[in-house]
Amino acid sequence: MISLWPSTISSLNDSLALLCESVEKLKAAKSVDIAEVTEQLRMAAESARNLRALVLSELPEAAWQSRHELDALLEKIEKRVEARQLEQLRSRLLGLAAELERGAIVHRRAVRVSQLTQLRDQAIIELRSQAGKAAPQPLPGPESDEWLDWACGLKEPDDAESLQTIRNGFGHLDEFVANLEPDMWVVKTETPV
Amino acid sequence: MNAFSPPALASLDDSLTLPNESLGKLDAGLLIDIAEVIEQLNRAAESGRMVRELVLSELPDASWDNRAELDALLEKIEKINEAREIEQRRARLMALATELERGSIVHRRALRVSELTQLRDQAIAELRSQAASEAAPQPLPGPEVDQWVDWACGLKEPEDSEPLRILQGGFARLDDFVASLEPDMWTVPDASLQNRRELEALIREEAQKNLRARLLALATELERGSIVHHRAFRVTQLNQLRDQAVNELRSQAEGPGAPQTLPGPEADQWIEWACSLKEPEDAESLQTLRKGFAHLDDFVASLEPDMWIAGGPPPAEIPPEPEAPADEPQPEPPRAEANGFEETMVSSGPIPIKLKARKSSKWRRVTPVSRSFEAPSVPVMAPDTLTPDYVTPAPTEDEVEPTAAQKGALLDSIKGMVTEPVRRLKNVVEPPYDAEAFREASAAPAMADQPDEPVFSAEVFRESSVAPTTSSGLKTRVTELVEGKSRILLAIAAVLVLVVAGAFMWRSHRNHIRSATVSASESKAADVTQSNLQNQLPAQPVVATDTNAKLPADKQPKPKDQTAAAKPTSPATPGNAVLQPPLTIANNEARKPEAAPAEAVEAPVLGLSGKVPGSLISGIPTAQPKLAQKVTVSSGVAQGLLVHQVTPRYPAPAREAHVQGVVVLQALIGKDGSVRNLHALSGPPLLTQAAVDAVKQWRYKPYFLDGQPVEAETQISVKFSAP
Repeated sequence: MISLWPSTISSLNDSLALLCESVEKLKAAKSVDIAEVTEQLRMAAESARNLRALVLSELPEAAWQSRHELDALLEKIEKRVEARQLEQLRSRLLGLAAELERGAIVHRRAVRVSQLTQLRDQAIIELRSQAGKAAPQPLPGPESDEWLDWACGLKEPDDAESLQTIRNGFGHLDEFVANLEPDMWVVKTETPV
Repeated sequence: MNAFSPPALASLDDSLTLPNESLGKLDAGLLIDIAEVIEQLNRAAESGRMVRELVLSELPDASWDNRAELDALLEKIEKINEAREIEQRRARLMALATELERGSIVHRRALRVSELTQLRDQAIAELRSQAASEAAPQPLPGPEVDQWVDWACGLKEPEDSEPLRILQGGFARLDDFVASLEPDMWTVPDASLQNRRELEALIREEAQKNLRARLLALATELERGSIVHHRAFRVTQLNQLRDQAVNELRSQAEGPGAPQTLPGPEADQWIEWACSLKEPEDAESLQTLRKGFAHLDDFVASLEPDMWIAGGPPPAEIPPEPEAPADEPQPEPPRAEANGFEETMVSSGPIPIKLKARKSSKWRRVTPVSRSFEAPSVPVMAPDTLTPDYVTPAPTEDEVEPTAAQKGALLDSIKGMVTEPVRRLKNVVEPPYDAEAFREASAAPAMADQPDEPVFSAEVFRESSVAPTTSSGLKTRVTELVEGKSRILLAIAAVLVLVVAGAFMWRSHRNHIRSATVSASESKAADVTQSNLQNQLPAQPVVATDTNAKLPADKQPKPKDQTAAAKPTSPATPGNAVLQPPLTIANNEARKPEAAPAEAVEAPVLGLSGKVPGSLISGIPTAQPKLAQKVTVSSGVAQGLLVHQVTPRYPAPAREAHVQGVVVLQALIGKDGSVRNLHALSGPPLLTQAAVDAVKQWRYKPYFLDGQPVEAETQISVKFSAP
């Protein structure tokens, strides 16, 4: 089952189902509402046009003659999209690990700074470990340069789903951001030499 | 896939091809031509409608949900059509067999005819055998059966090898027959001609039916009409012609053969049309009429349009009315028109004038005219004046020659005219006298010795219910006047009038025995000398006066017993000069025995009472009878005067017992038009009172005589018909 562009494909399938039903009626010489059939035809044609556009956007050189060939193309496109999404996730985990490395913890008590720095290092290890996996856990939230701010702003129970996702996939990272207050994190800006 | 594939179904499938392809393309997300697909969908919808109609026309109750069910239905229809086709084939074979049976073979040689007839019979048997077989019969090539033999005889090889092959394969005997038959040897009766003949026969029959009805209607119309003419003889002639024409029409209409064609319009306009026919313009119609209806032609040839008075519609019967409570006011019926003759409810029918010599007309309407005694012969002679007397037949030619007594009576009547200037000069105001009544009454005794004379029959006399009375007082007065100062002048005038009128009237009346007899009668009434009475009225019990000579011999009293002489006819007024009806009327059915005394009692009303010696009467030749205060009018005349008519109620007992009939009432119409002295003459007793009660409320226009209203006696017939 192709999960790619589900709304577009289901729209096409629904329109075609109604249209097929009307054509079957016509085939049985039963009376149909031609205006309704025409509308169904127009909707099916529109859905087909949208699907064709999506396919061609992924595979500009693609060509097919049947639903079977279309399904093969869609499968191919789906795989390609999945690989791309996985690469993007890895890149994002590594980018967050680099972001955590670049920042520093400031606190009035040295023990506290030491504790948080240790948690940060564990989270960096965890992120790099996940990025090295075949199927890393998805990391919710924005891009890495805004991620700590976003994560420090999560509250229970309002953001329970995101918190749960972080907790399930990234235990250390979750523990780090749970102890970190936004004003305790500073990012070292690289001064130009 | 079913074998039965109507074109609409194929069109449907064709139309759906593109949409189906388009569906596949759309499913693959490919491009399609939407407009073309929509057009194909429209075509498919139209084809589907046609398929639907086709299925429902064969199986009106059919229903289906998908193509598989539709295909099953189409298969079923295919079987039905196959069965029908087989049935049609069988019918065609049977029809051809019948056609072969209808036809016949003509040939100069009987043997050939026999051979061909045998082949024909074998072919017929083969056709019927094929038609009756359980298996589907072979299809028979060729046109419809009425053209089939011609077609089959025209088949040639090798051009028509295909139909010949089918024929030989399926119908060998038939093929043998048509192979041996030449087209001119085969004859078939023309069915269309047969139908046309039947249609023509039907049309002829209907036309004859209509013609018979038309002839009968014209006969009725002729019977209902009346002939008027100033000459009674002419009336008689025309009546005879009319009766012959009626008989002729009826015999034609009711005869076994086809009636002759009667030209002209409907019966009610026919006489007018026929009288207007002229030669040579209308020669064709006249010829048709003459050929088919000789008597009718004679009649209309002799008839002038103004001599014919068409009869009114026949009297309708009175429907029974529900008996209303006595205290409930009866609804007033609509007032009659000016002529007062509303025949739809009540008909006071005319008194039939029965003649001895011929059958009288049943229904005559005659304009009422004044019949004054002052000019007794004027109504008879005036060509434009019509009286009921003229509807009676005139004597035959043999009878028109007046007898010596009649000639004397005529002279006497002329002398009687002298009384008119006498009366006027002396300013004697006398009430008008019913000349006809007097004439008829006087004529009766004159005719007693001529029993076969058709003019003065007892029936005619019956019209005058009461004879006029000659008043002796009047005669005395007139005598005094005549002997007065103007005697000389009057004598001169009388002589002059006598000479001129005598000469004129003798010539005019010589062919009119009736008029002559009337004049004689009037003269007798005016100049009742014993001698001429004895000459003219031998043994007549008619005139009962104080002159005993007028009594019949067997009833003539002794000369001194005048009272006894008057008693048998006028017991209430002994000694009065009363003209009595002849004894023969006692046997007349219209004059009931119980009615006779009543009329005898009323007799003085018509005359003036008073005693006059018989010598005085006999000595005054110009004596004029007293003018009557009451006249007798026929029912028809009375109907013309009727202005208000009340419908009688049908008595409940009579209705329950289904009693019906005609009640004849004797009535006196007063000067004010009211009905008095009403009594029944005949009719069912259960209906009499209802008729009397209704007629009592009727109103007439007064009957005028000489400009003065007079009482008029008449008979009224009220007809009751049970439901």
